[in-house]
Amino acid sequence: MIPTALSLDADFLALRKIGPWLHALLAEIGDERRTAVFGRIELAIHELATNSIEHGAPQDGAIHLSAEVNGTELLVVLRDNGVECDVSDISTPDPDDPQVRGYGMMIIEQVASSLDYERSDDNNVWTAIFAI
Amino acid sequence: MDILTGTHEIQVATVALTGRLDALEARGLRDLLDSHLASGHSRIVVDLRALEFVDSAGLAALVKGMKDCRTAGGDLRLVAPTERDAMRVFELTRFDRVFTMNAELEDALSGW
Repeated sequence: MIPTALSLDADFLALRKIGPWLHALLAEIGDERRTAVFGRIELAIHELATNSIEHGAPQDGAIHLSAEVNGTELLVVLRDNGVECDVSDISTPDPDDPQVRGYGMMIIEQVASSLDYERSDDNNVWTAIFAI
Repeated sequence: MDILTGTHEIQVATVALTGRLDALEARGLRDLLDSHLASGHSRIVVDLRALEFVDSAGLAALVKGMKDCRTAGGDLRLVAPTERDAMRVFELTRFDRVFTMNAELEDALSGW
């Protein structure tokens, strides 16, 4: 049985488990579809998790992912108990004024069909839907 | 009329990366680029052809390097990744238009 949930230590090395987990999860959609979508979704989830480590700083030192394939969509939820995210503070970089950081959310929003955030029971909860 | 002739060699430092350029590896790349600059090398070519994956943290290390090189009067150029998963972050952030990207190392080393 392919685990649909993945808990990671909130460190950059642990994020390398995302790719193999996602690859196994998408097996049910077939090799061709998986090959077509895997890379961009892996990048987006990786960026979401990196943001959690860098900005959320989870108190329990963990990031919790869950995912579900629903027909032509993949729903991914990332949860951490770090600092509350101020979504109004997230700005889109100006392409004509290259900056060094701040591109994670820009990448996620281009790859995901939708991205939602809520603060629930002292947890940051990000819900992303990807077309597969 | 006096004619003075001379030849000049332009030194370009090259850095070739393999594997994954992500948040875990970005710091090491940044330190390497900083050391090149500290040694007086402001013309750097980073060969990304053998990379499997690049994320925004890896991109940030390259952007920082590029900015520092340009401030020092040089530049940081890239040999473009051949893997789609490594090229994607440049396209999504439009940095494929900001960096000078060449398909081959020889092209990146010429024309300074």
